[in-house]
Amino acid sequence: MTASGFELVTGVTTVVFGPNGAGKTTLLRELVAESGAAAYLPQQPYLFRGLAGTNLGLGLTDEECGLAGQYARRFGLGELLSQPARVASGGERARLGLARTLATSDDIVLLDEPLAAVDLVERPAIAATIRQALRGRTAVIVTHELEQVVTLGDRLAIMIDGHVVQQGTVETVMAHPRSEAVARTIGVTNVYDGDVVSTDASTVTVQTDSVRLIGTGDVETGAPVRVLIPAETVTLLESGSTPSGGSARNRWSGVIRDMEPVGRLTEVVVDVGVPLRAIVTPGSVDELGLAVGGIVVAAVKASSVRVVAQ
Amino acid sequence: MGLILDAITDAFASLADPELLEVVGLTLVVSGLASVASLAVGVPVGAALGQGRFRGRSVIRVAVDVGMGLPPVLVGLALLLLLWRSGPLGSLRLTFTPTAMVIAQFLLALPIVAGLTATAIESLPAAAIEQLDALRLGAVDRARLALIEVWPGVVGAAVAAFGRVVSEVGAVLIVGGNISGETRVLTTLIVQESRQARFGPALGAGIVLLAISLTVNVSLNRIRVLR
Repeated sequence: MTASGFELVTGVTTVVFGPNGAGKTTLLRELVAESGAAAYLPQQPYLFRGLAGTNLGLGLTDEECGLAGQYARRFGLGELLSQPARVASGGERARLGLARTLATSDDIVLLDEPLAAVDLVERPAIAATIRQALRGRTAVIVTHELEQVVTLGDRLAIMIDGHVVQQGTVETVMAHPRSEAVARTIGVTNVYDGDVVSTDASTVTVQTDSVRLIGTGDVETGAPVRVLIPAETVTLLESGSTPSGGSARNRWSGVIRDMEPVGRLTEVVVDVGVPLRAIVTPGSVDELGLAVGGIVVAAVKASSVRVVAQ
Repeated sequence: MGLILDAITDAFASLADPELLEVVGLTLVVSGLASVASLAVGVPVGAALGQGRFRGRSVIRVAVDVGMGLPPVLVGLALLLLLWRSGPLGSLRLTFTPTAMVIAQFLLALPIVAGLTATAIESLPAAAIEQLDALRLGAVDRARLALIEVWPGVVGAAVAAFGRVVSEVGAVLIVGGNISGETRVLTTLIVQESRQARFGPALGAGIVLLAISLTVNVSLNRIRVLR
């Protein structure tokens, strides 16, 4: 447990999420100092004079060096390695630093915003490599992008004003923000794991344990995925309303299991086979006569359902 | 005007003097050895000062900074006292020898090399320091990487050190004695000739000194922009 209240869990990847200036980088530096033997990727990896390839192998054993080379080639840096480090772009520096850090055999791996300088189109492949390289290892990744939380993390720690205010599995923390501050930081988000059953030009169909969802995302059929539905994008309708029609591709009828105030709004948990959280205004609560035990129709547009590879 | 024109004419005539060649040789050997020795000792010291956190660091740093501005005559005098026949190092019998001159110039150049190297390393960007920490290298590898990174600064230190010693006259005059054929270098030759109003040969030696300074500066600056 660090001074900021962060708990390092072994064997899993914990993503530290929070706004800029929340103290995430400071936390990583604290962990570096405490562990003494952690592989650490700074937010802006620095390349020293000489060849890019020399920088890749700095301080690595022969075996680690070979692995770093594999990662570098996978990250599209094959040609850069034989060139002077100074010609590397910001994105290339970031990928080179990442390749080197992932290749170390250290017990703990600490990555500060590993994808921030990486082009959007390259992120999914690199994220997949990070995930694979860190499987079973103790890792902490700092990010301020929610998408990376679900792509990279097993656990999630929310950091606000220098303190870890909530930590747990990604699904739990995202679905159950413990305070209004946390809810304001990450929003209330429904997170489900599933598999892609089909894709077409614009949408992806995902089967979870008990629900089929239509969403959007750059994933392939058969891939294990995570589905994100921000609670404020879930619309609740009277139970009598027609379950089809309208622009929302996802519509389910379900029983209201719970209702909690979230600031001035109300969080409504509807059992549609899985618990689905919706954030509604007090006006809607009155108008629809929402109450625990009542039946409603929950609707979500496919464009609000984000599907990301796991 | 006649005096100056005569001096210039005589200066070029004196360049053919074989004794001058001998003096130039000794100047290059003494200042060259002193510079190389000051780099060999000063660069590691500067690297340690620039990035290390160790006891006594700030005291050494102040000493180095003061040393950068030491008057050469004072260094010469102190060394002469040490090396004097009845002094603590008298048994070495080094007074009025080229070795004593090398030692004097080494002492003058050392703080310059150490101080400028330390400053160069201290100027590394924060991201470079963080990366050095992240790489978790041994002290020697870490220092080597940092030094290569501030390479132009280290070359600048070498330029400054050589410039300082090749042009100083006080220390070599005191510990060397300006003995013709033995310890006479370009600067002491200029003093000698000027004192005897032989302005032509004095100016000739000055031209050679300037040419040496220029050549060394240009060559080292070439290295500085490499890589």
